[in-house]
Amino acid sequence: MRKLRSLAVAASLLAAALFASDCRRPQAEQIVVTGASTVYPIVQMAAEELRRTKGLNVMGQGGGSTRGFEDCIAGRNSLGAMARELTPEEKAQVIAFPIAYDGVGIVVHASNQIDGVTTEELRQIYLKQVTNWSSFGGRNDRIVVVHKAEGHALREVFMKYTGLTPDEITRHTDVTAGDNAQVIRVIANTSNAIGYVSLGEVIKAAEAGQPVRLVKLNGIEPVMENVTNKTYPLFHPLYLISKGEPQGGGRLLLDFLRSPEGKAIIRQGNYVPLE
Amino acid sequence: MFRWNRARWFWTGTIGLGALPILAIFALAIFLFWNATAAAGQIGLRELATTEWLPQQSRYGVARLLIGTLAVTALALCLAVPVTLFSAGYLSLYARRKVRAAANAVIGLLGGIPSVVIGLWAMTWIVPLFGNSWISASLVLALMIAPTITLLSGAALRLVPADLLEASRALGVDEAIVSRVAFHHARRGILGAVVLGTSRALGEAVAVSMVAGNVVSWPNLTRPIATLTTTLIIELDSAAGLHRDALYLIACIVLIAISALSVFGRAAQRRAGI
Repeated sequence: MRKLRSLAVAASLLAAALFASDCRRPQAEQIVVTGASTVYPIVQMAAEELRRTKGLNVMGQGGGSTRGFEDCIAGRNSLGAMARELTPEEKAQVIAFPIAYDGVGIVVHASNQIDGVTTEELRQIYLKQVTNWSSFGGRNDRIVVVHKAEGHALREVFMKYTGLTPDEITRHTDVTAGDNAQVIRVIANTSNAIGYVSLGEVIKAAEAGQPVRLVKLNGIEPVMENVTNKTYPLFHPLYLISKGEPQGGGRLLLDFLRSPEGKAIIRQGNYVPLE
Repeated sequence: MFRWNRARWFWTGTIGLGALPILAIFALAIFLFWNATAAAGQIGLRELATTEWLPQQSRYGVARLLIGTLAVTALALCLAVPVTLFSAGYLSLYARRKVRAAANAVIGLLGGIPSVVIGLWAMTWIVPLFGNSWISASLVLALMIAPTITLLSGAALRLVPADLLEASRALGVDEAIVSRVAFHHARRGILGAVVLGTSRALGEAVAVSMVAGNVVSWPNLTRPIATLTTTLIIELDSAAGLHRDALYLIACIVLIAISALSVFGRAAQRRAGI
C-alpha cells in the first residue's frame, strides 16, 4: 500500500515536472515555418535578421514540401514552405506566395573533366543508355547515377524536366540519397557519380572545399546570373503558403522576404528573389 | 496523511526514476503501433505484400524491402560468423591472458565506433571496390556485428570447464577435436551471440545507407539494394501523410523483429549460463 502511494506521488511529480517545462515557453509570439528543406536556409537567414531588428522569434523546420502543406491545412504552422509547383487540389485549399526560385545544378566530382551535358544526354545517362564518361570526353569510367529519395521536391522537378517515369528511375538508379547534403556527400566520395542538387547548396559546398563541381546544362553556365535571367533551363519555384490571408507574425515574415532587405538575403543564399 | 521522511523520498525517487525508462519504451512502442496500424488499415495487407515501393504513386509494397533486409543480413552473417568464431576460439582457448585482454579491448573499441564513421570509411574504401551494392552493405554490416559475436561467443567458450578439455587431450585426440568439444559445449552461448549480432545487423541504418545504394530491387551481389532501415533513413525527412505512416509501419516491423531476436538471443545465453 505504501509502495503504491509512493508510486502515485512519483507519477504526479513526474507529470508536474513535464508540465512545468512545457509552460516555460517564451512569451513572444512564435512564428513557425515547416516544409521544404530547400526553403529552410532562407527562413533561417530571415529569422536572424528579424530577431535582431524586431525581436521576433521565427522557428524553421524541414520535413518536405508535402509536410509544409499538411501542417498548413492542420494549422500546425504559421506558414508552410514548398519547393515545387502545387497540385490543383492543393492550390484550391491554400494561398501560395512565390518568394524565390532556385536553380537545380547538375553536379559531378571535382576530378571529373566533362564540360557539360544536354537535356537529351542527361536522359540517356539516367536511362543507362550511355554508361561511360568517355562518351562525353571524360575518363574511361562507369557512370554512377544518383537520385533523390521519394517525396523530395527536386526528384519531382527533375522527373518533369527529363520526362523520366518513376519506373525508369528505380530501374536505372545506382544510389538513392535523402536530402541535398547527402547527395553532395555521395558525389564528393564517388569520383564517377552524377546527381542533381539545389544550385546554392553546391556553390556553398564547393566553397567549403568539398570536391564537387557544377557542369553546364545545354551549354549554359550554371551561375546565379543565368538562373536570374532564366537562360539556365532547370529551376524550380519556392513558395510560402498560408491557409487564409496570413496574420500577425506570418504576415511580417512574408512582407520582410518581399522587401528589398529580404530580397538581398535571398540573393545572399544563392537563390533568386522574385522581382 | 503523508509524512515525508527520508525513506519515503528515497523510494519515491527510486521507483519514479526506475519506471521512467520502462514508460519511455512503452510510449515509443505505442506511438509506433498507433501510426503503423493506421497505415496498415489504409494501405491494406494485400498491397503491403507486393514488391512495388513507390510512395509517390501510392504503391506501398514492403516485400522487396524485407527481402533486401534479409539478404543483406544473411550475407553479413555468412561473412562474419566464420571469422569471429575462429577468432573467439583462439582468444578463449589458446591465447595468453595478456593477448586476450588486449585483443578484447581492441575488439570492444571496434564495436564502439559510431556507425556514421564506419560509413564514411566504407564510402572511400569499400564502395570504390564493389560499388554501391549488396556485397558492400553486407561487408560493412559484417564489420559492425563482428565485435558483438566475437566477444559474446568468446565469453561462452571461456565457460567450458578446463578439465573437460584436459580430459579430451588425455585421450590423445588432436587440437581440432579438442576445440570441437569446446564449441559443442558452448553451442547455446554461441547461438545467443550470433542471434544478438543478427539483431544488431537488422537495426543498423546509417552506415548501410551510405554504401547500399538504397534502390528498391531484387538482390544482386553487385547491384544496389534497399533495406527497411535504409528506406526509413532516406525517406523519413521528406515523407508526409500516408507515406510517413507507412514508414512508421516499417519502423514497427524492424522493432518487432529486433525485440523478438533479442529475447531469443538472451534466452539462449541465459541457458548457457552467461
